[in-house]
Amino acid sequence: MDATPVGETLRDARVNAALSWTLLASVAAAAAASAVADPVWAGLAAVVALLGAVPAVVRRSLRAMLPFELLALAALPVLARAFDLPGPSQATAYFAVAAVALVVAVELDAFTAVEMNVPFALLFVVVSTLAAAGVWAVARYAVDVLLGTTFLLPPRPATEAALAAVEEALMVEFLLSTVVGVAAGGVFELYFRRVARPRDRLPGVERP
Amino acid sequence: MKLRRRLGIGVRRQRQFVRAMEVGLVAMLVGGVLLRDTGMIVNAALALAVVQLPAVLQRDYGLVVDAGLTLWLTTAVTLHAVGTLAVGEWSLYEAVWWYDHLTHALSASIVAAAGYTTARVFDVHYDAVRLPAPFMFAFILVFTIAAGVLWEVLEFLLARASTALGGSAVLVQYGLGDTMLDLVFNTVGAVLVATFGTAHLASVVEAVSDRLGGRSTDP
Repeated sequence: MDATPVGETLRDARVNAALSWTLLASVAAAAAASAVADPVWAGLAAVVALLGAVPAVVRRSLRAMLPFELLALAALPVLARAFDLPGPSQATAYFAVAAVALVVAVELDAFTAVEMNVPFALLFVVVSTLAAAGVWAVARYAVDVLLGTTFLLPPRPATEAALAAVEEALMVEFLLSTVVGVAAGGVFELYFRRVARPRDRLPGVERP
Repeated sequence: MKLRRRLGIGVRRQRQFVRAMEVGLVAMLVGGVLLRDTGMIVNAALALAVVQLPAVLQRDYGLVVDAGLTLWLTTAVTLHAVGTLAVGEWSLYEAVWWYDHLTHALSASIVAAAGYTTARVFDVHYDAVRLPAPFMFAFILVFTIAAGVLWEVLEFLLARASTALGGSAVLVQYGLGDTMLDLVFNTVGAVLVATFGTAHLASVVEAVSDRLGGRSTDP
């Protein structure tokens, strides 16, 4: 792959690590700041921050970080939400979920016996995004039924119309997660083809 | 672990079961035509189409789908088709509370099998892909849950399209609680496949990989 100037800069582990740590610190701060007001997004931010720190912990080196633009894909939606930037929040959320799935794929490949090529990683990302929508829906529903909360369900006693509206909204959410998951897969495919193979930059990982 | 050996049903008997169910589906199709019942015709025709899949794969791609897998697939689609048969207000789906869960778990198990086969083919075919058993277990679950969500989306879009065209829905969405339980029972089917079903699929995986040719390096 021919190295563009940008790619060259980023291939330097120190510059990359500095950028990545800055992103992680911002995400962690966003998680802490919104923990009470916006617990769901704070949770997502915390997941991004923890996953981002995994390479450094596993390699016991501050320089071992994911490619910074990969982290940025996961971090930007979370930060945008924290700073109240405009944008369709549900679509942003599922894009963040897809980016998290990609980070998981890269880390599984780098640090465990699991090995993936790009096509399988993309399949993994799309499938994980859809599954996240399903699990998230069931989790909200279960908590609502058991504890009487209103994460998904309308306030009780619920009218037929209110329930139908919730179901419709959920179907639209599922549809959205499908569209965003597939679109994110497309973006990542471009990223892998044009920008970099994350393995090339993770210190201590043998190149194939 | 082969289920067939545990159940003690021979290959011949399995083929007979499959034939019997196919005859039943044909009867349902004919009945639908005679009664001018669109839902009955569509459900029977779709089921018959799916049941032909193993034979088509074998004829066109030389994929040998073993008798046990064919029986599994045929049972799943037949139970669904029979469930939609309505006598007045009465149908298995309406009358038997667990029927919907049974068919969902069964059809999810087929989807899970497809997910497993896909992942295994990647694993066998590409040197750069290695998917150990614990990852595979998780992947089968994730794949099946994702397919369940996609299915709900398709149902929703189909229902929208068919009401927009002024017809009635071929597949009925029964409400939120039902959708949630569907997703849960899909996962049950996936767990069963991830735990017991993978041995059954070895021959399919091998056949698909053979079709794709030798091992390749990362594209």
